[in-house]
Amino acid sequence: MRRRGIAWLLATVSVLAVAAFVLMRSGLLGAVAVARVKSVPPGDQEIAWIHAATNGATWERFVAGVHRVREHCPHLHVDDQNAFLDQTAAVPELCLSVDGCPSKLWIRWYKLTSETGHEKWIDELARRQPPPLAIIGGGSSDRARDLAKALAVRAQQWHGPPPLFLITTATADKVRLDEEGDSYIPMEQDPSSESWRDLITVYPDRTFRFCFTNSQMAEAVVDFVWSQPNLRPHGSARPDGLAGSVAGLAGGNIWAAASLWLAGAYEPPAVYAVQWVDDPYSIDLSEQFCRVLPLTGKWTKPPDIDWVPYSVGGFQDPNPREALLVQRLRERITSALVQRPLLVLPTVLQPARRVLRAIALVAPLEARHLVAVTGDSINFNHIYRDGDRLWNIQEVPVPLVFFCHQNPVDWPGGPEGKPPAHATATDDMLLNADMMRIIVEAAYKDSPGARDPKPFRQLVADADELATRLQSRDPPFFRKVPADGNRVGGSGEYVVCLLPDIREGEVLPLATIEVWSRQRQATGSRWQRVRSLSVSYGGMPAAGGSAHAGD
Amino acid sequence: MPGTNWRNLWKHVRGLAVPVLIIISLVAGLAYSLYSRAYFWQESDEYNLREWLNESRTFRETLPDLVRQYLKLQQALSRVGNRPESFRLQDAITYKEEEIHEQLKALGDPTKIYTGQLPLFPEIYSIEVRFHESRNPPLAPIAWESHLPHPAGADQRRVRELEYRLLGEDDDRATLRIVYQLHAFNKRQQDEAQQQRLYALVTLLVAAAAVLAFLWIYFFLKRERERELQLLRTYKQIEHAEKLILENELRRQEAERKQEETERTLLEQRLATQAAEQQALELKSQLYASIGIMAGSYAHNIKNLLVRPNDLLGRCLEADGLSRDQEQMLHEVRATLGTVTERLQQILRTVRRDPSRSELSCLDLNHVIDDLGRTWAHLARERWKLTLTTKLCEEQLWIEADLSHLQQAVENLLFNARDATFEMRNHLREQARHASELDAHARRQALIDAAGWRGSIVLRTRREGEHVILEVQDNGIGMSDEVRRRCTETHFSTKRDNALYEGNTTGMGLGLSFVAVILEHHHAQLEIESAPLRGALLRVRFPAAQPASKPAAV
Repeated sequence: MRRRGIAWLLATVSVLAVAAFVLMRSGLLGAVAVARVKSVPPGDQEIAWIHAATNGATWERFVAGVHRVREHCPHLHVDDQNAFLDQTAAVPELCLSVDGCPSKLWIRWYKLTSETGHEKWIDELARRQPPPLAIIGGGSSDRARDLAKALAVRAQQWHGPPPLFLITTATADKVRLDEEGDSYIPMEQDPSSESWRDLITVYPDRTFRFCFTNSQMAEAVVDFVWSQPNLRPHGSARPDGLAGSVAGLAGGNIWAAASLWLAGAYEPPAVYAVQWVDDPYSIDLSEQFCRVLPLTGKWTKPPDIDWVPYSVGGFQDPNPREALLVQRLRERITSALVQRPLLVLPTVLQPARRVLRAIALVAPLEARHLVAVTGDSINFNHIYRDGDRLWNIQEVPVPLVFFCHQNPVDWPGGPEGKPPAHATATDDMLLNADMMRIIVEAAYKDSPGARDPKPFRQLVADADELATRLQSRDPPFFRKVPADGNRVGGSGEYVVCLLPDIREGEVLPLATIEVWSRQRQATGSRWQRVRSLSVSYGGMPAAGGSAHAGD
Repeated sequence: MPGTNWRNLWKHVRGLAVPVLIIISLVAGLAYSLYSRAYFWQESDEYNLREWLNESRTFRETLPDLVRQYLKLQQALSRVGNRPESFRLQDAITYKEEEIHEQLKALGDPTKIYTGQLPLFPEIYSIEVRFHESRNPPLAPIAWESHLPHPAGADQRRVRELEYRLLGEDDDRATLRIVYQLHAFNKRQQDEAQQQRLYALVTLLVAAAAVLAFLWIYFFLKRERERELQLLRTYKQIEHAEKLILENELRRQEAERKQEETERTLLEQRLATQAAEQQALELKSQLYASIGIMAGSYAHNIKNLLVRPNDLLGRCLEADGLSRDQEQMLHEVRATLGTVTERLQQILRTVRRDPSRSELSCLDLNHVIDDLGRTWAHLARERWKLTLTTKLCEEQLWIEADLSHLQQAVENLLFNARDATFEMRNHLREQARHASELDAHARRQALIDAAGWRGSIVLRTRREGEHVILEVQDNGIGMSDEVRRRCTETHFSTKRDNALYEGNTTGMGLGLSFVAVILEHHHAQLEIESAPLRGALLRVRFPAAQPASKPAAV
């Protein structure tokens, strides 16, 4: 009887195993849970790097930045054997350790997908013991806002001090906190102070920003543009005013322009600002430009702000709303043909390119007079390495000025070195390196009671201790007044300027890229050119002889 | 019988269900794996497409995110109704629709640019998001059409459709349907088509092998079962034969047992006969003893009575005037009375048994024992079935003793020894009868041995210093210490409740007590050496008499 029972049991198990296999393969048993956080070994700490699953290149740059920290911290060891896994749905991780300290610091990439958002990861992390020391995120302002909101809502749910929020490149000063569906409203139409809040205060006292803010970027870009005669916006003589022969004076002599204006014959340069209202970064940066211009004493007409409800669109053509915007802008810039107006395009690469390209198509001559400025959303490589395709100067023959948080041409060989064959996002990597250096220096502390002359390093116990050490850093990285978690500005900013080569009214497939840095001096700060690169398009040799780019 | 056939069939089915289930499961699992493996390319393509559609971010939101926001706005609008904020929501919905459309367009447009040029770049004919919200009017689908001409004729088979739940498997509010063509030269498909044929062949072979294995198992089991049944039948026959042998053996043993029982009964009857004879003999002996006592008494009375007639007769003879004839007649009477007296005196000497009234004389013990041995030897051999042996000292052993008492005392010792051998024989018989460790044959032999066992009594005399020793030794049942200590007490007997002596005059507890009294009067000592089942040695130590004494007439 006993043998027969075993045989039946075996048969039942076989049938069930096959049935379960078939059900699993057919998907009837449901999907496997994707959001699963890893455990942290006892004594170790974790920092969660929350970014979109499609940000593989960003993670690579982050890992490269962490490796670069070793130049400043020789005792640091970076174990990246699990940083790049075969399974894209897995959780990549870095393991940091320092000599003399058994505790390790784990940095893990929890990937955002269409199924697993910020809230889900935060919920999963909050359930785990111990909580992470910090969460690195906020590659863009909207994601930073969402992460900060999720962290603020769940501040009481952690098994210990809540983690810090370390913002990488989210630059918006203010963000709108209400529901997503209401976001098609520009700031000017909804001045309610309750809806708009400083991003740094959404998750108060625990947020630290390692990049410059929109206001710092706007101030730097405006300062740079007005410092460059070939970029500085200027107005025009009224047709019914003094002769246009004196109009050229306004290009270099503000007093002459003022005198003309006073005579009623001069019109100040126009400023056209656009807001993509589904992007808090765009709204805020536009507002910051408009706020900075009068504050810094730049003489312009009151900014003319227009808005586009959404940023989604194709590669080439503007979306319907951008097309309407282009129509409106065309009418305005053609009325100011002899001016050099300032066009504020605070958006990411594709909307900016779509709009500028459309303007160049509908008003090719007027477009050449524009000076387009933006923040950090256009990357150096967009115009340099991938410029042939992404920012072809013959399609968008508009001088462009944008901001970088770090030197994008800090290549091996120094300022005179040859550009690398495969240029990487050096500024991003340097920003990551800076950030991780500061985090590592704060996370590992020297033991005050250690008798060993070699410093005995100890990992911070929790997020509170890490916050204290970040705030008390000397020299300060984060500003003290107000001590809100934003970084100190006034130096270290970089500006990149793309200048098309237009000769005899023809746009050549050549351009110049200049990288400038603001240096703090005793008499104030001044802009210093770091490097100038000549680039060519469509296979034409550049001035330096290289195929696409050269000094 | 039909019922039996069905039961047999069910028994077979039930027995084979387990291997059949296992085989079916394994074959099904293998077939499913092979089938899935054969269509892996299609499954892989669909997963890739879904990843591309779901995870692409033209700006910052994925398509599912945009659709979720769209549905949320629609729900907010349905809640608001016609209130003023509905205008703003309506605008937002319009923008979101455009946004979704732009997202679809951004996905599809690049594929259109390089149509037919880049293999593995999908050619998208349409992407459509359909909504399943229960609304009136229903939400219109948001679609993007590429305006590419669809392949005609047989090429249409290359166009594929994929439709899935956009917001997750558990959320059916929106589905995405895409019409596409992915492969221009799908080598993988070709390989897999070949593999499908191979897998089909493998599956067929496995299934055939499974069926063959099943049949083989069936016939193997059937053959094994028949072999087992044949074996069982053989075992059963052997068992039956063994049973018959065993029954015969039992019958034989029963016959032996009955024979033994018969023999035992016969033996018991013989013993009973012997016991009855012995009882009769003893009764006769007692009768004779009683007669002797009575005769002694009478003789004594007669002798006393004769004193007066003798006295009177003497006086008559002393009287004068008697005629010669008278005197002669009186003398004859006197002589006759004297003869009677003498005879009575002899009778008295013969039959008087009172130990307290012994008349000691010097006797040769050897002579007494020798007479006694000869007297009882025949009876002992023939009736008592024992050997009576006398071993006498060569010299004469003179003692002072009453012959009659001495004879009676020695006879009592002899009878005691005889009874002890009877008990020993009885004991041996009972022991043989109840010997469970012996088989029937051995038990019967033991019974026969017990029946043939012969007792032995030895009468032995010798001189030992100033004493004359008489030993009566037997190989009988023996005595325990308790019995040995009390055996000379009056009325103490081990035979009283013994069935062996039932109906006999023995068992009165007088024999050895009488002996003890007699010996006491003879200043003799009785020593007893005995142990249970070891026989007994009764030693009488007489004081030796002077050989000069006049021996008594015997």
